[in-house]
Amino acid sequence: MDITDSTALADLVREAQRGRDDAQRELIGRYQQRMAGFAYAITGRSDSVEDLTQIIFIKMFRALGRLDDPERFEAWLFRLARNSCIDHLRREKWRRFFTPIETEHEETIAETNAPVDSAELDALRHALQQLKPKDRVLIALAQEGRSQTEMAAITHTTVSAIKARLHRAREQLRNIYEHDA
Amino acid sequence: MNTTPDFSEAWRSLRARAAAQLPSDFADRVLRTLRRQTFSVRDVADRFFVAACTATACLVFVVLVHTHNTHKGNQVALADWRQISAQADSFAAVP
Repeated sequence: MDITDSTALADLVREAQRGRDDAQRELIGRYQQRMAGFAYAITGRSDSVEDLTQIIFIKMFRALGRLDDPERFEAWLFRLARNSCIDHLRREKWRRFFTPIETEHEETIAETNAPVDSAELDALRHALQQLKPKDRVLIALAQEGRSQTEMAAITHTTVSAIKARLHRAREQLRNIYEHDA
Repeated sequence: MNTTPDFSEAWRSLRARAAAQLPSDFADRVLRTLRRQTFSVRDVADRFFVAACTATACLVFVVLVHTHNTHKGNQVALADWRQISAQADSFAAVP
């Protein structure tokens, strides 16, 4: 994103903060695909993508008034998305704990039998699911072009820790992916 | 941060698959849900305000009644004490 884009985005964010309907709609339009992809990479379930993406945007609009620096909107949005996805996974973990095994099995079948998935996508999805959620977050943030400094801020850790974890996660992902593909 | 080349095609598929899960009127749905939830939050806030006003009015009423009763009780006790005191003075005056 160049300076002009970044200024235009900051202006759009300010308009959305003032409650302008068209600005809010445009903000959703700009980020909905990236947020959906981010949520899908972390959760691994396509059936929760729409709900989770909606939750991310609703949380975004509720908190938008408290964003002091609209120039940092994107990093802020990804932090919010990351937290929403981690919360979702936590809730799912508890839900599965109380779900009968048969129902859980049916849910898994429904996801793996999804139509028109390429072998690469299947392999990537499977490889991502083998990683820890926090490592999946790092891989997804890196794919979204976040810098290591931003990742450190988003995940409340240091840049050196991010470097090490990201390297390890990429290696692990590559090994599983190449084995599957 | 560069995209890992081996996965780039798979990542594109993943994003496309995720994007395909969103309905065409996704933005409208989000804004509708947001407005509805904002209104329901306002409803809750309004109800809380009414409940708080009612509770405050009840508390004020209880305090007023208590103050009135205490004052009335004190007046009665003071009148009784004056009467007793007058009687004691009159007994004391008897040689």
